[in-house]
Amino acid sequence: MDFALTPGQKALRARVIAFASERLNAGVIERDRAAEFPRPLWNECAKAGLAGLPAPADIGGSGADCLTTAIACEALGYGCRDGGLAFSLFAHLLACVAPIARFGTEEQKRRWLPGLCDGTVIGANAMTEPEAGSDAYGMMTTAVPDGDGFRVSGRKSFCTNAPVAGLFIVFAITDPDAGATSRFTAMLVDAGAPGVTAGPPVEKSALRTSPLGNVLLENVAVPGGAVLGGVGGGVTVFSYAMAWERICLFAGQVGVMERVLERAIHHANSRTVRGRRIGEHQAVSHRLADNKIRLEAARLLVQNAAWRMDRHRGGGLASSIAKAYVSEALVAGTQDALRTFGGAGVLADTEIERACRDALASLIYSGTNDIQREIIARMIGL
Amino acid sequence: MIGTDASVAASIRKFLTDELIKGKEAGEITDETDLVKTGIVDSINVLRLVGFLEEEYDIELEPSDVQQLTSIRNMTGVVAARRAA
Repeated sequence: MDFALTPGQKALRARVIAFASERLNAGVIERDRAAEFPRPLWNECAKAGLAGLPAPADIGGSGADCLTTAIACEALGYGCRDGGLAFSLFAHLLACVAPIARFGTEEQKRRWLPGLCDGTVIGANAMTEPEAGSDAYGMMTTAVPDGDGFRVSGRKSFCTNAPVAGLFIVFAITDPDAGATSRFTAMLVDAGAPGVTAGPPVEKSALRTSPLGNVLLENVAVPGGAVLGGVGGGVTVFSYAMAWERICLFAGQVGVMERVLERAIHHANSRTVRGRRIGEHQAVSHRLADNKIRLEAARLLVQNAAWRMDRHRGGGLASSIAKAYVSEALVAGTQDALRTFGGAGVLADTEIERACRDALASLIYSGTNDIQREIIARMIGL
Repeated sequence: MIGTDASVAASIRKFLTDELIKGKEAGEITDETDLVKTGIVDSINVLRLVGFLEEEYDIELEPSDVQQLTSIRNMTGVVAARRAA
């Protein structure tokens, strides 16, 4: 067992941290307050190669496997303090670019990946629906045959990047009588297609610079050539996208955990009360030690899951375990940092309160932790 | 793991019996029983099946393969086709 990063992965990590630290953090407090999506910074991320990591190198990507993508995402989470921007990029990369790179036809890859990689097209994954929520497979969006393709109608909700997306991967029922193996289908839907209406960004407390919205699909014509993964192949496309998201997006949160822990350690070592550094008090030092334990465990869970994904060795279960653990460790870590900072922790300037707000959403997105535990329980035979 | 179609079918049957249905009604399941219609292969169990088949036989399943995971016979055919590819 070798836990060492390759020279290429080390260089990628260093490059992403340097880029994110230098280019993505200015004005983040103001952007968060205004709930402003920083499109110019998105373009910079794309220019730095971050918008197309798993896409083939000959179409503008880097051909990165899941583990290498996870390492890059961790580096971005560490270096980028704009959690909303990072989250939007992760959603685009993991739930849109990755499944197209894996399941797309050559024509689909040539049609969409260059723009997704160079920043001109933002991707979004449209699965969740108002009536289904965590019961994602209970969707109501339907696709009825029309010529060589389909007509799609339905409503999607909680769709990250919807207000700014140029492409949606839409999941719709194509065979209502079929079971789990072939009930629904993934489709590549141009955001500008007639009948597609993306709503405005919804107001939210977390990840405020990441635009989240609803999507209305009214009799949208989807040609047969836009079906991703074949008719009835939606379960495979969706589970693949979610596994990548539950691994690599949460690799990003491991990066956030490390950054926040380092800030808390620095504060504990520099803040003195009555002549003593607060880190000398075990109430503080042990709390931060616990976070170091959680950080190391979180990183191992994520990298193990990524390694398994790359080798078809139970990446689905491992991704659910990683998602549930990392999100709860992130919430604990950010709140422990807030306790370490005391009153200053709730001030916008310290950026700890924003990390706490952003962290809470991780318990919900990519499938709630209640659902992850249900998946894990079923996977282990319960 | 290398095996004949018969041994693959036996291995799949054992996985179904031990992991998915835990012996209940196992005797009623033939190689042709539609496991989707009977509710045994649901949204979670299809993922468990995919994980089992990919790991056990060192294969990578495509979406079209997953749609065929409806019976032991079909699963055996998918494994044989992927191993031959």
